[in-house]
Amino acid sequence: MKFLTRVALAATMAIGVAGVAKADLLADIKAKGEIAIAIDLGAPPWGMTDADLKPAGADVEVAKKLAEDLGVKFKLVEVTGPNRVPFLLTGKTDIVISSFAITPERAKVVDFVPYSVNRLIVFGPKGVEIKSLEDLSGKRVGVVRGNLQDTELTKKAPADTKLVRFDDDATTITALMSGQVDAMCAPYGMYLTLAERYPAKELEPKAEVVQQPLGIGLRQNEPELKAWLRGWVEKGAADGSLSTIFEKYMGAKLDLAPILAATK
Amino acid sequence: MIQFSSTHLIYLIEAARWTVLLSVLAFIGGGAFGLVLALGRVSQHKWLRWLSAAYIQIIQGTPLLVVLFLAYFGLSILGLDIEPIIAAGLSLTVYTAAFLGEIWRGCILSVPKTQWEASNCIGLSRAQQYRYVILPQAARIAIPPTVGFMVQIVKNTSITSIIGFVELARAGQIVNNSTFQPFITFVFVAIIYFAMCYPLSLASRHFERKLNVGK
Repeated sequence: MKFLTRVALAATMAIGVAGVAKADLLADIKAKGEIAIAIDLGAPPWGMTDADLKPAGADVEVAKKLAEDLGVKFKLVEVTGPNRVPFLLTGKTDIVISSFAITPERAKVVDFVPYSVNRLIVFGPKGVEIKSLEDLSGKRVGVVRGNLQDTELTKKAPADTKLVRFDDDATTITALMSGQVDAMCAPYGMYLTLAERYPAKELEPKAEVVQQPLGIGLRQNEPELKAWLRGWVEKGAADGSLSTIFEKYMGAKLDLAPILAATK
Repeated sequence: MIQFSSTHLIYLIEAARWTVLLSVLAFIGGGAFGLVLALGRVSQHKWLRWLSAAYIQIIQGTPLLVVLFLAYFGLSILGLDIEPIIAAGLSLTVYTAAFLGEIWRGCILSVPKTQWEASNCIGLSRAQQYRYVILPQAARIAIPPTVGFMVQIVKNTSITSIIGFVELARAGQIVNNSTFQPFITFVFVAIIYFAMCYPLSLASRHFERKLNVGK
């Protein structure tokens, strides 16, 4: 996936961002009466499908609320992790709300308005003795290759931690369930879902890793849209509506104030 | 908690229709263009040989992912708003043709030279030689490697998820990520892929017997 992301970034940067004509996208969206929002439905609990395979998840609810508050129809554009940036840059979606971590590399090509955080933790079965990141020494820990959990743990875990890198969430989870790894690192919301699905494993949180701000992604040079989004997030943070959505999926309150202050 | 159910199975089967459609597009487009390339590779005209060889070299050396990327995102930056299905059909055609062209060139060349000479002696034109003597014999030899490559293409169509197709592999990923039951999900994905590829292999065996390859 890392490779795909690199290809995606390189290709889009190489062919140039200038291709998409600059206009007032906010006015265009209002005129059209519809906003296209890109979400990855394979990234629980942010984007996923319910029992009837209808879109569900924290990002889906945020997107629906945003469209409603803007007074336009919500059009879902299904994306995957690696093609979020190209879909945005080539105008195939208006904005991206898809557990999109704000990184300096991405900020070179897209604009971000922070709206949520991704809280990464290490979790594992009850019997495994881990109380802090230092205790990971000598343990086998499953991560998704090239994802934030991989880069963060590579930095923060003791040097003799055996990081076992898998291609996606599914294989990492299977490795934990079959006992091939002692613990895994993933968003807190995923821990909640797994703890519910596999009660026999007695999963429990072991250590905090990082809180990564997530952003609504939009194309650069769209000051009107960016200002509107920023105002919308500030309002949602103040009245607690964004926190309500967050708590439903992540089991904790969302405090956006420090992140919003840091990105003034 | 969401359990894997018949709704999910139906979703997978519906997604498999994209896999079938994309594969068929690749076979038809790639087959037609591939034949042109194969004939170009063995042409009497030097520039035709050179042109088809250059095309095959370039495409075989480029990942399908990049071809797909350029077709979908690249063309759209140039101002052509291209439908995903057209971008996918075009890329798969471009890719499949390069491989089939080279496979079939080998098959044409493996027809003994004496067949060319003999057919020349009875006064057949170049076109007639191909039509009545060379291509029928090359086709027999071509069946096993062609079917082998087709089976690859069926599975390669999964790469089109990068431009937004929810085909079988991507659908499996989505189902798995909502049910968290990877085992049952991917067993069904595998069964559906097998159900698509196995008939191809059966057909290949049937034709091989019928055409008596290898005698």
